[in-house]
Amino acid sequence: MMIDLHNLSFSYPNSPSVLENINLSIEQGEFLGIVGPNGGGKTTLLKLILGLLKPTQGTILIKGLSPIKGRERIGYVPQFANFSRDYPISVMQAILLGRLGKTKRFFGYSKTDYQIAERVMQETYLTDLKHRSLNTLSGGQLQRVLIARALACEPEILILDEPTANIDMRVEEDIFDLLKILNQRLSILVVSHDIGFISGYVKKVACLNKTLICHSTEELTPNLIQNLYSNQTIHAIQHLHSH
Amino acid sequence: MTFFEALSQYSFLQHALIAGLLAGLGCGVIGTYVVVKRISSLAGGIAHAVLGGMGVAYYFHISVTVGALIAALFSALLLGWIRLRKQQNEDILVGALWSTGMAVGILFISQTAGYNADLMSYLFGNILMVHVEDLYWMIALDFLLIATIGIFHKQFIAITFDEEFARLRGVSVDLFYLILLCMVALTVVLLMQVVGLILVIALLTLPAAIAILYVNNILQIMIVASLLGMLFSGSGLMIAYQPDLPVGATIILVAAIVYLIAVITKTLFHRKSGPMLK
Repeated sequence: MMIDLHNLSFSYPNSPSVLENINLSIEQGEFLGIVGPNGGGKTTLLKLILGLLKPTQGTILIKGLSPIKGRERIGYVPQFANFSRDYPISVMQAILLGRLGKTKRFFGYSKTDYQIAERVMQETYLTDLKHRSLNTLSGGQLQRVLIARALACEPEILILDEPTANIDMRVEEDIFDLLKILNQRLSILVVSHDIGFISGYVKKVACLNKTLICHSTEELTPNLIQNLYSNQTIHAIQHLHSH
Repeated sequence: MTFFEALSQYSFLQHALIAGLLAGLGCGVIGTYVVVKRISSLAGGIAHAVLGGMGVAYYFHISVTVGALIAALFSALLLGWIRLRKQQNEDILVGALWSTGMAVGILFISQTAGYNADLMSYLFGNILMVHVEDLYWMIALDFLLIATIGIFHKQFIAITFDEEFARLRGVSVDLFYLILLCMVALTVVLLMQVVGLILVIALLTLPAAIAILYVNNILQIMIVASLLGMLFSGSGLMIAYQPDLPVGATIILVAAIVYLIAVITKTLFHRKSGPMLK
């Protein structure tokens, strides 16, 4: 078992609950998509798994460890908004940051760190861009850098928060094709608001709107999604893939 | 007598030049983080709060540099602690600390005999009054700053670039943030000898802000910014010597003019080669 959530609930102090009674198991080699409306608790769930928030109730285990201890096995790919895009840093240096926690504590990086960085850049087709500065990259390239940085952690599971939020449709496919290849050796958890798109790639979809319902992609029907999103209309239904 | 003739004759001028170079080094290294982390208002708060410590030290006849150091570190830790506790009104507190520190300083200095001239030199710096022992202080501070940055270079890049990711990778983000603010505090004290505490912020930020326009790697920015800092201090001193202008103010104006030219050149260059258009 990679990640195990048991009876998980969360609310901010003096506020209504954001998550209620979540049960979820992510197996080795799984490719799980979590979808749901904005404000449905997706980011909160990720923060709980990453140990950035503490659950009000229930337990979280990452490979049998608490999130704080287990998160070093997680490669996390945040949304763009987390850092300033004009920070003066090269692709190579940004990816090397993924080595923190594994590399030596003092002074620079080791030879192994550079080798791993080179390897993940090859995997994510970034080798030609390694000396480029981050602020000159396109949205899709930047997304690949963030994935490469997460891979440099040598994770067992990759967690991506809205990986396609800031890029166009064609690049979106490239990213998911890349994830499909990575899934051969890694478990992957993707959070997205775009259910139609990701259901073509992932093996299992969990729908999150305060509570969580898990489905394999074949079971997804427009009716069910409608239910989950309650009053919201979704355009994504039309793109639903059938297997 | 020209500047260079005077320089070879008067030790006060030699001390002033060395002080300027040492200050330039520190401001380039730490200023780079202040600029990329966008904490110049925090640095401003620390700089002004320092007057409180200096005033108290002056009143009780203890070393003014020691008073400044204590006040700088105290206000850095206070502001860091406030921010880490996620207080909403951080910038109000920066403002409050800013003025309160100055108020304390002014009160204590006013109660000490013969305050007028000294108050001015704290506020606007007096590089020509730098003593040999001050130079030793400055060398020690520079050494401390550069050693710390060298040893924890990776961690400082991580926390200034993407705090959340750094935390997930097991970096003690809070600790390194506090260390960074303490280094800013030390740099403020270092620069204060040269340009005074009101003008510190410009010398702390402008060299790095210029460097960042042309190079895009933290280490290179630090080197370029340090060289620029030294250049501004040295040339400011030289320009101010003959017409007997206030040195601190001259240094800042040199920095500001170069910054303006750098921004304009960069803009023109971009328009010509047109990478913005695509």
